[in-house]
Amino acid sequence: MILRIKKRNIIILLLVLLIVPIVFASQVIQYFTVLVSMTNHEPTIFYVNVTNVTLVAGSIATIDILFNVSDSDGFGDLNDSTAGVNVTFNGVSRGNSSCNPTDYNTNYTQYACKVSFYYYDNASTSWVVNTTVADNSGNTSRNDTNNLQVKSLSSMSIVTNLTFTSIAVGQQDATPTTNFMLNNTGNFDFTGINMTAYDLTGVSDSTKILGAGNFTINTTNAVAGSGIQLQNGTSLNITGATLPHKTSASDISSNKTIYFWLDVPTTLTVQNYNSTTTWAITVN
Amino acid sequence: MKKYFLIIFLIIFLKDVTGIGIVTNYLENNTLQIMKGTSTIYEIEIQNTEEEMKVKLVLQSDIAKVIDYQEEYTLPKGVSNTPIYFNITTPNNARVGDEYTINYYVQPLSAKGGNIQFAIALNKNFKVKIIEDPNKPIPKVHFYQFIIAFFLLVLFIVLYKNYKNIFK
Repeated sequence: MILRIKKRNIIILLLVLLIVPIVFASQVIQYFTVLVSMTNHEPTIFYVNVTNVTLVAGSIATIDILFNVSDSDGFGDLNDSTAGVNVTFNGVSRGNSSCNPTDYNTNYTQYACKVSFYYYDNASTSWVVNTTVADNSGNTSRNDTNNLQVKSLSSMSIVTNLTFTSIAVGQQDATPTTNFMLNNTGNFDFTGINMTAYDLTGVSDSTKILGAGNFTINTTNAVAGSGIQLQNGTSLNITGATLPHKTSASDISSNKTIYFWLDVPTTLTVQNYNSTTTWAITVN
Repeated sequence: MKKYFLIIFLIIFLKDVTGIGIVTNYLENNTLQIMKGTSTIYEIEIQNTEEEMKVKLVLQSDIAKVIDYQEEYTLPKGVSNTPIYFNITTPNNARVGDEYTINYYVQPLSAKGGNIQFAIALNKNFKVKIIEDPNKPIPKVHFYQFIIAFFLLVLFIVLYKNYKNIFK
């Protein structure tokens, strides 16, 4: 039996298949209304004032960071105890969670936060300033769109005195009673240390000279008397001496001890010897 | 007779002989970029954390000069930052990409100490790199330059086609 289907019937069938779902679909669409009752407005941090940080050698530098917050529910809705600022760079964080509020009008408060930086904090323009505050309903506003710069500080100091006492004429490799220590008190890495020494002259008898060449220095203390022999009026690089900056409170790599030895010529007489020209340590 | 005589030998380097520091803006790769044909002001601050102190500044550069240079600078007592400005001018023959090194050092003039006077000198440097002005407009080609170029091209073709006749 041959089934003969007319072209017209096929078209009708297709139309039915197309129309029926549309008709029924329109019948199942349900409309509903979502009603959200807003009882609280989130605070908004709309302005942050930052300044560059000039560190203080071997100490702490404190700056003020200000940020302004608006809240349509009035400044009374802001929870002042939640206001804080955190400044971060490379995993290091400096911040303050206790900021001082000043209310300017019914909806606007300014917070002033003191943030302290250590002398060894890295120099960079990429310290990120993150401010935050919440309202009494727990809605928190954050702003981390500002950066500040910690400037470069190159600074060094001498930590300990260097003292020679009671040295005999002719004595070799005499050592000081305390070691001579340098300290990097900034955030700059010194890659070289030079020493410029000058001859010492006898105080009572100025014809007696203790030459700078009688001093030897190094940074290893491996062998007594070894190292660089100083020269009168000549800047000499102390081999291998660097002075990196501190990276944390417990880091002691920013200290460098320089070991001195002194050979006293037998031609000298018993008296004090002074330098008439300033010795210099140059770091770069 | 004793072979050696005892000498009372006292040499003291005092603690924190100098408290000076140099504060500068952070420079990426220690390099200051200056647009070709321009000049700029670069600031350093000499920091003192001790008693009043006098220091000297020595600048070694062909392209920089100290503004209002003084033979010695007096740093106030306590924590203070004394600004000093360098005027850096790009040389006329400088090309984009050229680099110059500016060296300077600061040294206290008044040192302390016992038998030996001792001072700390800070030696610093940074590079200056010449860059193109990013806002420099691209040079426009004027219409008359097109006309001139066109006629030169035509002239060249005519000469080329007829060079045998011309140079006979």
